[in-house]
Amino acid sequence: MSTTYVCGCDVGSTYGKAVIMDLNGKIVGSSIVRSKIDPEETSKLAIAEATKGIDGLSMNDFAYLVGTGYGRNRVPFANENISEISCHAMGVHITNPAIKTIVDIGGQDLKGITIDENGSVKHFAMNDKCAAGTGRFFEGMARAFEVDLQEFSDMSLKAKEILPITSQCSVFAETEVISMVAQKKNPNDIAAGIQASVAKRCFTMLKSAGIEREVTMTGGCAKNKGLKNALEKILKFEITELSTDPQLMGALGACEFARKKALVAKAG
Amino acid sequence: MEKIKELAFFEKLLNTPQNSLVDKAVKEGRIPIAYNCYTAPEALLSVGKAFPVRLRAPQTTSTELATFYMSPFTCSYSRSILEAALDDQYEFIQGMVFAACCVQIQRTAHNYKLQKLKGDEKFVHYLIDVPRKEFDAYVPALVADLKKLAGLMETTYGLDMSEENIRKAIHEQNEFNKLLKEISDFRKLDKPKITGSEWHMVYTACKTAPKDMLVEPLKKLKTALEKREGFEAKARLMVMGSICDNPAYIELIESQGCLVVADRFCYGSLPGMEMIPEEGDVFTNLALFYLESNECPRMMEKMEFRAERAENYLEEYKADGIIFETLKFCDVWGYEKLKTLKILEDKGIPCVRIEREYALSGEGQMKTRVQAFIESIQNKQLTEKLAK
Repeated sequence: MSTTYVCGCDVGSTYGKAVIMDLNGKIVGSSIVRSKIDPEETSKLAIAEATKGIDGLSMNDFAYLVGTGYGRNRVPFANENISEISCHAMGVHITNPAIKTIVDIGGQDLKGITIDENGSVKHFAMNDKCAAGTGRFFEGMARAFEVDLQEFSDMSLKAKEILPITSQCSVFAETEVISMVAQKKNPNDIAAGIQASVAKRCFTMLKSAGIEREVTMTGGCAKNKGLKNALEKILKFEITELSTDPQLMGALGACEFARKKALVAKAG
Repeated sequence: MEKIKELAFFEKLLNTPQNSLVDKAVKEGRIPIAYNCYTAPEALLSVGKAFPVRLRAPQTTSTELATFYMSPFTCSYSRSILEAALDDQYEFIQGMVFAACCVQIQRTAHNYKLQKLKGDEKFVHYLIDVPRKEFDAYVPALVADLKKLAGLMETTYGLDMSEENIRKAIHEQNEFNKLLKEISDFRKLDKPKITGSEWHMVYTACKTAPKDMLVEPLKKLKTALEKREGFEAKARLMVMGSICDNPAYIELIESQGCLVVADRFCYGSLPGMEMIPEEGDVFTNLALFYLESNECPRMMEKMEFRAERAENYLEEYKADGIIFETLKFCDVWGYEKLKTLKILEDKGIPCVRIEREYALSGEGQMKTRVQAFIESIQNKQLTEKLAK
C-alpha cells in the first residue's frame, strides 16, 4: 500500500470524478469520465484515469480512499463513504475559504449548501424527486435545440430578450421549447428564458439554505456561463469562480477528508 | 445485532389492512371500525365487540382513482387511503370514524361515503368535529359529538355504550399503554435496546388489530428486549412531522448509522401512551384528554407549547437533532415548518427538512440528506469538544 497518496472518488449520476493528492495536500491527478450504468465500473474508470502518469500507483493502493456521490457506497477499496454535501463543502473550503455558500448543480440534483469557517456544512437544501434545473434538464434542452451543452450554455449570452418558460418539468419544458422553436422564436431568447427559470430555482435553493456571501457554483453545470449570468442577475452580485475545476469539488472534498484520515492514522 | 424473533409477529400485521388478527376477530363476530387520527378516541371505538383499526394503505403505491376524485393537490396519505378503499382493501370494516384533523382527510371521508356506501348499510360513518382551539366553551360541543357517536354505535351495532362499559374500555386502553410505555422506554437508554424502525413497527401494528390480542405478544417482546444488548449509533435523532406509518422509512433513515429514538409525527407515539383519567364523567374525560394532550399543528395558539414539548422530547430521549419531514401538500405540518420548527432552529437545535410522499420513494436522495445531516451533527459535536 502506498503511504504517499490519498484519493477521493465522486460517483455522480452522469459523470464520475476522481482526485488524487499527496499527504501535503498537493493535487497530483484528477479525472472526469462519463458515468457507466454500474457505479463500480464508473469509479474504477475515474480512478484509473486519475492515476495515469503516477508511477506504480493502482486503485487498491491508496493510504486512504473516500467515496462520495450517489454511487458512494459502491466504490471498490474505499475506506469509507461521505455524502457529497459534506464533500462539496470541504472541496470548496480548501479551494477558497472565503466562500460561505455553494449552489451545486449535478446531473440529477440541485443543492444549496452553506458552510462554516471549518468547511463543515451549516445548512443545506436539496431538490426532491424532480430533476428540473439539473444537468439532465439542460441535456434535454440542448437536445431540443440540436446543439451540444457548451453551445447551449453560450446561447443565452447572445439573447436580446428573455422568453419566459412556464414549466420547470423537464418533459413539459422540452415540449414548450419545441413549440417555441416551431413558432420561429429566436433560439437565443428561448435559451435565456430557460436559464432564467433554472436560475430562479437555484435562488430558492440558496435562500432555503440561508445564503451568505461569497457564493460559488459547483458541479458540471457550474460551467454553464448562461446560467451563471442569469443567477448573478437575480442575486445582484457576482458569483465567485473557483481556481480548480468546479466539477471536481465533490471528489476534491472527499480527497481532503481522506488526507486528514490518513494523517490521523499515520500519527497513530 | 440479532433480529429478535418476537418482532416478526408485529411485522406480519403490517403487510395488509386485513391482517390475521383482524380476520380472527371478524370471524369471532367482532366489529372493526376504521379511524384516521389520534384525536378519534380509540377507547370509545373499543367498547364491547368493537375494535379500532387505524387507516393505512400499505399496498398502495399509486393513486390514480383517488387523484381523479380528490385532485393531485391533496396529500398522498389522504389519496392513498381512498385508493386503498376503492381497491376494496377495507371491505372488512363496519364503520369509519374520522377526526376532522385537516380538510384533505375530510375529503377522503366524504369520497368514501360517496363511492363506497349505499345508504342502507349498518355502517357508522362519522366525522368528529374536534375543535382547533383549546377553549372551555368548546368542551361541551366535543362532549356532545362523542355522545352522538356513542349513540350511533349503540343503535347501529346494538352495543351497550353505557358509562360503565366506556370506563372499562378506557381502563383497558390505559393498561395497554402502560405496557407499551415500558417497551418505549428502552429507547431512552444510553444504548437503546430497540431501534426506531422496530419500535415504529410495533407501535403501528398495535393500531391495526384488537388490543387484547396484542397483550401477550407485547409481554414476550418486552422480556426478549430486556435480555438484549443495546445499540450504539453515530447520532440519536427525533423524527417530527406528517403522517408516517411505514417502518421502512425509519429503517432507511437508520441505515445511515443513526438511531431514531423519538417519534413526534402523526402515527408516532409521542404523544400516544398517556393515561386517560378514569374517574368522573367519561365523555368529559375523553374530550378534555384529546384536546389537552394532542400536539397536532392543527391546534391554533399552541406553537410555543409544541416547541417546548419537542425540546422536552429531545432531552428525555437524548436526541441530537430533528428530521422534520412533511408530506407534499400537508397543510398543517407545512405551517408548523414555518413556525414551530423555526423556533427550534433559532435555539440552535440541528434540524433538517425533508419533503416526501406517503409511499416510500426517492430513497437515494433521502439517504444523502440524512447522511449529510448526521455528518453535520458529528462535525458540530467535534468542534464543540475541540473548543472545550
